[in-house]
Amino acid sequence: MFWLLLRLMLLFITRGKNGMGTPSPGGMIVAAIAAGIIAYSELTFFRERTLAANLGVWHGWYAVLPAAVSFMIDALLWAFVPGLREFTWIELA
Amino acid sequence: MTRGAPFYTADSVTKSFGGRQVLKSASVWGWRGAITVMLGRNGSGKSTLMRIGAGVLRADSGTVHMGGRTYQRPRLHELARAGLYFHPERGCLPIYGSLHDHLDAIIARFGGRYDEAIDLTGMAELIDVPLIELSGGELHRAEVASCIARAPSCLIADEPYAGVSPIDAERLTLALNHLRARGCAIITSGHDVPALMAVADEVVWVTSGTTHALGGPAEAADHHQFATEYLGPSLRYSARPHSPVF
Repeated sequence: MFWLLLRLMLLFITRGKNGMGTPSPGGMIVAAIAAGIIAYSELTFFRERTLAANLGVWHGWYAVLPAAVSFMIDALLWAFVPGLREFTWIELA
Repeated sequence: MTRGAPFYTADSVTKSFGGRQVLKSASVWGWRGAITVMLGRNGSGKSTLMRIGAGVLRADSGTVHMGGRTYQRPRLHELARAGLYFHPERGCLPIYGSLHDHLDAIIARFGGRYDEAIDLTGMAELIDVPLIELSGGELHRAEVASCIARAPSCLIADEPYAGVSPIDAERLTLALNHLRARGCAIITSGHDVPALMAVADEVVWVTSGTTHALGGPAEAADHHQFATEYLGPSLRYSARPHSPVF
């Protein structure tokens, strides 16, 4: 689940609005932030997830919530920072 | 050693990471009121087998049987409802909150009392201290207390003796003996051979991606291949079981 979400996020975020396979700097920044959030939650919430599962509670929210937050950050950035939509690595080069 | 049907079995487990097959066909068993100790070299797949058996890692193939029920795709929260408690090497209690908070959660969910857990682990004075303020050894004792308070039907504990001081290792031995006396099926692992052999009822050797049931500690110590390939010359003759500490 964790790796699937990470891959999906990287795919969607780096695609941006510059076309398939053309990552933008903004997308890469958001992807890095998203990966950081997930990695942090994986490390930080390991014990929480284990205790929750040991109590018989499904612990998937600890993986899903950071991903949802990352998607929201991505959407907000793309909506309110127009420069991110236009600026591509090709232009930067 | 004949013990009847095991309460817990992780059966014919296979697992690959990338192109590397870690487990080819590995099995481990746990009987009520008995301690099964898994021994094997670093990287032999002990932790992988325990994580699969506890339902926190998906196997390529294999099944888990517990309490008469078969789990094709075991998940820890399902196994936990059926009586399993998993103590991974990385710890099982959040560092935020106190031991009191966590034990309250366990008791609220499964009932029981935790007086014995506190007494056996010597955590009475630290029960209200946030776990983040505890030392590594104290945190380990808190986690052992949670295992006792849960009073599970089956405990899977990955390397519980790792990095534990001698006095805390003795407390851990007391806790394992306590749980065994209560009928818990315990499966554990590690490299502290004298301590593990002292509590073991069954020894399982994990090697080359598979497992070998060696019998009791005395039989295991006499197993030539196990002694040669795992124990080595210095431990070979000191691995015979000691009297358990009660």
